[in-house]
Amino acid sequence: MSAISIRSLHKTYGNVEVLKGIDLDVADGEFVVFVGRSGCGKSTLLRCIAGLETISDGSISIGGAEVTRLPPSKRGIAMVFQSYALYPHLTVRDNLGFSLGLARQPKPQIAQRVARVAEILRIEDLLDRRPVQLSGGQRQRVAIGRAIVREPEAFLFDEPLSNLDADLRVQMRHELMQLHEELSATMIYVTHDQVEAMTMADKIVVLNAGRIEQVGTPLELYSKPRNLFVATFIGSPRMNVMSAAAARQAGLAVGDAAERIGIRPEHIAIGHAGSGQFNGTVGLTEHLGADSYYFVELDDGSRLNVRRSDDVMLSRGERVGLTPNPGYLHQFSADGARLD
Amino acid sequence: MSAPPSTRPLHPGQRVAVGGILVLMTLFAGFPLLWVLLTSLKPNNAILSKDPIFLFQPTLEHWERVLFTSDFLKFYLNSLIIAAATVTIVMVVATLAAYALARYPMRASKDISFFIISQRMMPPVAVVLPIFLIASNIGMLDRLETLIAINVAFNIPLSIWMIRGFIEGTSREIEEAAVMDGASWLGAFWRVTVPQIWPGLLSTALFVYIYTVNEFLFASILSGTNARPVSAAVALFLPTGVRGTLFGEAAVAAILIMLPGIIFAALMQRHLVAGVSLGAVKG
Ligand SMILES: Nc1ncnc2c1ncn2[C@@H]1O[C@H](COP(=O)(O)OP(=O)(O)O)[C@@H](O)[C@H]1O
Ligand SMILES: [Mg+2]
Repeated sequence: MSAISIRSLHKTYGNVEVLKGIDLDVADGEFVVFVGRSGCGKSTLLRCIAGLETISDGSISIGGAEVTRLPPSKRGIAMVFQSYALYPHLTVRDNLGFSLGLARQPKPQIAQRVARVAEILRIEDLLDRRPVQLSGGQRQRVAIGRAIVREPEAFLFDEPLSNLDADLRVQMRHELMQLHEELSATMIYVTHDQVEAMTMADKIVVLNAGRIEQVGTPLELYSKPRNLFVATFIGSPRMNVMSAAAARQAGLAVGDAAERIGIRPEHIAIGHAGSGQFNGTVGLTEHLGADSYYFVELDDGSRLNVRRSDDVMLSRGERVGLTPNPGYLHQFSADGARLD
Repeated sequence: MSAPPSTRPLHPGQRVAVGGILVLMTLFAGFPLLWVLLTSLKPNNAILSKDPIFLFQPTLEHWERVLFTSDFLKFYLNSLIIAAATVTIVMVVATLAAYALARYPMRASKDISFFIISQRMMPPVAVVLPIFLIASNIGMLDRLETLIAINVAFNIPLSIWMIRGFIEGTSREIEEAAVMDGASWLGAFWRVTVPQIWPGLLSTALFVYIYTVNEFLFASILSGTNARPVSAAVALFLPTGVRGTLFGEAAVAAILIMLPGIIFAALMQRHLVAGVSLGAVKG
């Protein structure tokens, strides 16, 4: 059992509070992604769970046992660092076997487990090289291998793919997800990339300025963002936000308490001028092949991004009418909270 | 991370020029050593000849005198004990202090570092008298421990400063990885960072060794006949009395004094393989 639970965790550096009361439960075997902008405290939270940072207040337990005061080595978790942090003076073989050696495992058993991990990650040919002789992707594999060789209760990943090329990133993403299935271990994965979060997570934790904004499945975050921050952070391209007044004026059904209205680009139909609730002029366009995104300048001066997935091309300066799908309107109060 | 040195092949002309310069530099550095070695083997009349003599009947009389009839070996042993103890203590203390300063930054880190290095700004001669008086009062004159303590005190600041630089050049995250792998913090430093800065540690140790072996001021003032190291004792071989200066014996002493340092440096050369830490972090 390796469920992780965090209760009112605070972390301050000097007089700067970096984590402002985190409460979180991660179920056994779950793949949880921490996502948020750079500097929001993702790495700090991960390092607190790992035990690399002492926490200022609160508690952490792993597998039902409180570990708040335990050193990292006693927590039974492995971590993969963004920089890989391989041991430069050791071969890949010794990098992989390092933790087992510390645990005084017998040599034949170390060799056997290292060989198995090397096979899983397809790095058998690299065992006698040193980190300096490896490519970025190979180093990444070794770093992951070093984590799984110990068969830990839980894995922590801090932006493990951010130093890789786009191609390799997608490939490694799939391999990590497959690894998660095979090991059925608890994994916490940090990224600033919401696409990575959406595609990999069982559960996403959205962090902002040291607080959790929302916890949920990718679909929950997409369809029911709890506030304006999550609404605009999750989804690519980002959700359009307009004032509730403008929406009411256009005849949309909007509650009295609503201050802001959100609508995703994929939930707006685009047609002839005068055919919808908003009229505007096509401005910037992005053609991605399957989809096209049109930034439509509305007559009141605001702008809506609209997705169109058919083959009809609109040209810049064309007059169009827009019809938001009423079932997908997100309404937010003045302080940004979701209204339902 | 610095780029690897260029490996572009040289023009033949450049090769000759570079080779010539290297040969000149080697001769320049090596000739005095050769001359000392020859002198140690020359009979006295050849040493005192006005013309440089390269061909002579070699003799071991100077070696014999130094090794068997003088007190040289006693002084030599003193020097080796003082140097070995100083190097050991300095390296252990300075490495741990440097680790703390490099890895546990606190508000006072800068001040502590400056205080440490400022100890080096004071000329030793300024404290000779007080130290002599203290040592005399507590009955510590002419003892190896006193000279070891003095040398440790004078070498620790610069050593901390140097080693801190080496440690800061390594990645803290690699130590953290070792901690996640089950090591203690100090264990991670020892197993992961020390191997990376090994060349730096060895060169620091060599500095300390050379300083200690050459230290003359305190050696001559704080030691008498018992704890006297070679640096202060070598003057014994250069009396300008009726027998004249004993250049042959001085040459033998010089060779023996140089020997451990040269052996140490030769062993160390193997470890000065640059770039062991390249590629450990980042892509
Ligand atoms: N050792 C530290 N000392 C002081 N401030 C820190 C330290 N580590 C991180 N911070 C601050 O904490 C905040 C969160 O950092 P971090 O957790 O690394 O963010 P993220 O991983 O989400 O980009 C940042 O504002 C950062 O400047
Ligand atoms: Mg980070």
